[in-house]
Amino acid sequence: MNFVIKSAFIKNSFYIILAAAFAAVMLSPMASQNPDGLDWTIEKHASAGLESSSTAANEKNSAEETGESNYFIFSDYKTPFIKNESVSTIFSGLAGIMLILAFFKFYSAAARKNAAPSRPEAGDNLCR
Amino acid sequence: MHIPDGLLSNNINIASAAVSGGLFYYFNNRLAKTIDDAGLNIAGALTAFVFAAQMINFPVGFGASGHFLGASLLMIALGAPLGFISMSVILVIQSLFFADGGITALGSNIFNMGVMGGLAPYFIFINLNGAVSAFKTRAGFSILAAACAWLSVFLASLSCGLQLGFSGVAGVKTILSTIVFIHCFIACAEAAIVFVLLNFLTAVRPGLFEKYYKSYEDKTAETAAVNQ
Repeated sequence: MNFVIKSAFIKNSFYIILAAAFAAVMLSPMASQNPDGLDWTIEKHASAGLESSSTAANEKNSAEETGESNYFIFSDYKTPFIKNESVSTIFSGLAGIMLILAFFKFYSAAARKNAAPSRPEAGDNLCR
Repeated sequence: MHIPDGLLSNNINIASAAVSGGLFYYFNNRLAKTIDDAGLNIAGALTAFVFAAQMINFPVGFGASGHFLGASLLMIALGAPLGFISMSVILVIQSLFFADGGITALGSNIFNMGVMGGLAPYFIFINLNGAVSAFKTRAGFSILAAACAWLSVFLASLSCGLQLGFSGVAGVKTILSTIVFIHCFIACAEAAIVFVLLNFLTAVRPGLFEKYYKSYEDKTAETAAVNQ
């Protein structure tokens, strides 16, 4: 009985945490547009530093920066085919959540496959 | 603090990719021996939450903003192996699909946010939690966790600044003083968020953190009962 209650609780907490994740995505369009700590630091200092470094590296850098939006689906947390900025951000966030959940689904399936033959106490679970 | 492509020198990227990749391999192997589905379920939900929370930048003054890191929270909630893998998954997905952090800098980003921002503070957390009885109460545990969350952002920005400095983006001292300065403020927000989240998660799923305080609290309750 205790086991049943416990597993029900675990299932619930999964959905509660997931609901918190969805809530966070819904709030994400309100995020500050200021540069984050790293970008802020780079903006402050890098211009001087990068000019002094080799120009070849700079060219490569700028080429990668301009090409960025073409290579990545949700570049800058925007969905390319949605014009509305808030919806675009929310949709990309939902896609990210799905990607992560999909990874863990596959990961646990793969782990179960690997673990099953080499687990001598597997039958014990039924008796508990 | 997701470092984009082209900022760090190749040597630094390769070295930190080797460290991060090695740790990922090690923790993945360790996890394979002690896998449990319920744990992986919660790990998935928590990882999704940390990913979503990282999207919300909050202003910290000086024209800068910061966002939740969550590495310390993942480690404390899931343990080092699963926590590290969760953090790595977030960073990989961010760099592959969201252009947040470069692909060549992925190893460095995992090193900064997973190792320095996750494993290092978790190591301190677990040792202090084991050694100091004041941290074994529920309140003491969440205060210690919040302190480690502060430390996690501090250490991550420190190693990020060192990498940028040694890659020649700017002088090591200049970049360190700026990046660590601004992240000290972001770290305060991180600590507050972790403190609130820990109390929320303890209410939602008590089993997640019981190992850090329950046995001690039970023992003190027993001795109190015996003394009465």
